[in-house]
Amino acid sequence: MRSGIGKVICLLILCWGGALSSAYGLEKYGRPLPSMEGGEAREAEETLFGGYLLAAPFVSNPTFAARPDNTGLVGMRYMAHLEMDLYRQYLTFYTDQNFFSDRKNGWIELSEWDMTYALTGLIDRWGWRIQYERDAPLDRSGLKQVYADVLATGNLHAADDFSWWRHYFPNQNLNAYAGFGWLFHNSNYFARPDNTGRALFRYVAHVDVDLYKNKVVLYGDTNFFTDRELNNKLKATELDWIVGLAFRFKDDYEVSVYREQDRSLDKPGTLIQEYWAVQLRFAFDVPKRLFREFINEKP
Amino acid sequence: MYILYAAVTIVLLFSGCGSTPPETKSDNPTARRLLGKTRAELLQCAGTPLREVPYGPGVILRYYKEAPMLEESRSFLKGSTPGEHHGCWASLLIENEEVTGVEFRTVPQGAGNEDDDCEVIFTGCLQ
Repeated sequence: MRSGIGKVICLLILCWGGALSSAYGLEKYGRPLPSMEGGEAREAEETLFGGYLLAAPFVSNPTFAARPDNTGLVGMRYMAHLEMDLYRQYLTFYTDQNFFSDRKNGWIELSEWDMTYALTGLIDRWGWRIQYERDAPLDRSGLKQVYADVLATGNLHAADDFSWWRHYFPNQNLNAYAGFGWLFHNSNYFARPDNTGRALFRYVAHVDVDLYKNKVVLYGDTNFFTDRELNNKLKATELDWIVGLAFRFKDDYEVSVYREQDRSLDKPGTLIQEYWAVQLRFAFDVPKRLFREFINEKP
Repeated sequence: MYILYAAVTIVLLFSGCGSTPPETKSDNPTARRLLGKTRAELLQCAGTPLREVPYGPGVILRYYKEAPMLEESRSFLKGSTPGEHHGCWASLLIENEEVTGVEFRTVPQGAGNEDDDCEVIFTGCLQ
């Protein structure tokens, strides 16, 4: 009972601390300017669609499988990501197309294709997502892992949310989110790295520590899965974590080094999938203005 | 169960950290240093503005910078996380060929990293 009250008090204090924060988005100097809210003008400059391409050699990979049936070992990962706001920040569509090669099969030929399609959005500091993912082998027929899930997250942006942050950390930032997801459709999406069980819920947490002006970013990401075949469907059976360090330059380029490990939480001694990767990411975005100009120039 | 507690705690904490209405502030050294620059200096260091809006005897030059996609969108094996697309409008009032007023406005209101994107527009003006 005492422990429960303590937890409630802690939560109240934390939430109160959060409520003291303040966000600002307007700075004025010298003579006042008339109100220019952007509106239509922002519309023309904002991103119509954007995304990135990445390539990542798995420089050390003792166990991370190159197909959904856990055969092979990943050599290369390639990915294309595209996202588009359908209605401001409230409704965004994105897709990921991930390709892997098998280092046991020459590194070049692709062995797996994971495709994801999702709708997502933000309302204040709350995020939501509905996603479909299909992981399938490419170089042979075999097991496919497919699921659809919904996810809700709470987001924190320290530089925006805490008025004191910029005073102490003018060139740093901390962005984080945590959330809960439900795999409402699951066809062979497993609850452990050794391909046992079937995932039901996911708990996610992520943090980006911007060490210097968004040029050097330390990040961590965790995913827990639960097993719908267990009596306790809330108990986590798998933990996937990533820690990485990213260096960004010229706005659109990023080199990062990261480590991922996927492990069972309730079956010690079973398969742990892990690797180290070096990743090059190139981002792009197309403003609506450019697109309109392109259309208007066409004969 | 501890994991569930942790997740609930973090989400509740974040919900308490929701944004509050924007307020005006004026402690940005980049913006302050733009005051007094001539129009010619400004065009040379920041480039051509997107718009020039006549205002009384002067003119307002408007620049815009969208935040880099890498800052807004993250990727992991377990899924991507697009963030809020945002940018910054910089409006500079020119009177008698000199900057007399500066305004940095993040859009959409309260979106991430405040005026960083505006500062990038004028990096060349501070050297």
